[in-house]
Amino acid sequence: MIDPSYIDRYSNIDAIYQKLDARVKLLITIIFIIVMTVFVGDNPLRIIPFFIFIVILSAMSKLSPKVLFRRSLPAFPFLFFASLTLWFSKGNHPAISVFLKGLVSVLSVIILVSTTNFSNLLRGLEGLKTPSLIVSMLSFVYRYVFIITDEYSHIKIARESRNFGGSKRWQWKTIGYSMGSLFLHSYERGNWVYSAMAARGYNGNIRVQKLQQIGIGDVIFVVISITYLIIAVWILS
Amino acid sequence: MHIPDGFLEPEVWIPLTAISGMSLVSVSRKISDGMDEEAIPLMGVMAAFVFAAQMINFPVGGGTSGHLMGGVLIAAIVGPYGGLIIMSTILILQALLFQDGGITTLGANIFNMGIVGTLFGYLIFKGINWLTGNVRFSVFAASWFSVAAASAVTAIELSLSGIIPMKVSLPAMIGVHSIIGIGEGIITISALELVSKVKKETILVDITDENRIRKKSSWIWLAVSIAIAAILSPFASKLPDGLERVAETFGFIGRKKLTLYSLFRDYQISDIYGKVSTVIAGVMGVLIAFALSYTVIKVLKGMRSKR
Repeated sequence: MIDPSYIDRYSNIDAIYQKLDARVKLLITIIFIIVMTVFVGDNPLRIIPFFIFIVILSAMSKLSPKVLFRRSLPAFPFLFFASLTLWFSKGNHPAISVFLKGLVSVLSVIILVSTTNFSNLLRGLEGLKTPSLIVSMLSFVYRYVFIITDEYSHIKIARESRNFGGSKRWQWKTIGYSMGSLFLHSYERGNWVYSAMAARGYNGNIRVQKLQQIGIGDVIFVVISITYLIIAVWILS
Repeated sequence: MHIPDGFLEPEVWIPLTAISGMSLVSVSRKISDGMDEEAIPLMGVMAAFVFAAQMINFPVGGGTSGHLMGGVLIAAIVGPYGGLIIMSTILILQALLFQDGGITTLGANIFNMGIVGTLFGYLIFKGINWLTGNVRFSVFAASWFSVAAASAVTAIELSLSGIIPMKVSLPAMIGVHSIIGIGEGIITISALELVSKVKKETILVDITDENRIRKKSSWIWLAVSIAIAAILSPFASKLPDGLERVAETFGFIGRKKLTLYSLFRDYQISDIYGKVSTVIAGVMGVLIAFALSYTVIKVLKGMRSKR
């Protein structure tokens, strides 16, 4: 269902953007998306400076347009559907601009995620004061979601090979039972994971390597991007 | 139901982000205090379970398929607060890794599916269970509600941002999701049924618990109020609302954005679809009323016992 190598495939390329601190990248991405969604408005042409920013980032990270396009595909159906309804109600310009806003922010998140390996990203989130419970939950989901979807595909094969079909109600019920047993499998696995962790000295805190200090490169990157965004907003207004 | 970036105006997403952020911080503090170390790995794997469960499609009809939201399911397994944390974890991961939902809209998505779909869904379960004593029915009603209500707030947020007018988005979203909600209800019941039969001690809500005394009179009350709401709601929404009338007279109705009365303003449209959705909105109102009365009574009881 999901390919485990999907997420971290491009995070170890030797490029400038990959070497920046995760906190810095996360912060700039969030600021970028907020500024863009607020200041673009209804005129699609106003997206140009923000699009240039994305192009610069992707050049800095050596990600090919093909990769970016392929990874943004899952976001297209909703973007397309919603802008279509907007097109009916409000006309060309707002619809195109909403579509582009959505697309550019998706691209910026894709650049962030594919250039940062996941554990660094989590530490970045922690650095930005995300509750530690949620950060450790994220790391567990990241580790186990592939195993559990795999588990479900076994259940599904077993179900299909026994002639799954019939009335809709029956199908819903059967899917419910499969989910119940998926839960039981996951619960058992959760207990094993805990025993294994306890055996290795786990006492409720997950110990992680400290993030590196913010370097001079990070500071320069922040200053340049913020200046760029300020100039972009100044030109637009 | 995941809203991408660029679809919500700052007036809409900033307050929602504040609400979700604050409730997430306070809930995770609350949980971390009373939690033993064993619970974190277990909750993490449970979150992975819900993530996987959300990818499973079930047929809805007309060639389309829906997928589980799992809010009430996870709340019935680990409780409402754990459910909120798990749901938010999943939404963060979906936004970051799978481009399902945006960054600025993350707060709104957590509000729709975590706070409304999970926390409030659990409250609905509690309210109806307290009234009827029937676990199975309450689980079904709460699951259905959680999906329908989450889709309704999504539609409201989109139209407050001026994307899709309320009279289009609300009937369309609620119409589709009240069918998906039936699937969600049946799947949630049967999943809990299997787990209750096999390993009762692992979950919070035991669905096979039939020992309670059924309060027959309250069943009738519930049925009557849902019927009244279903019959009266189409008429009620046709009558001009008092506040709306005043607003029209004084001419500030032109400023549609973010005025509370515009939330529920004449969203009925002439076709059947619209009527059905008004009826559904009425039924949802009844469920909310029961959940609220349950909370009020619980709070009052708590105050009395403290004295």
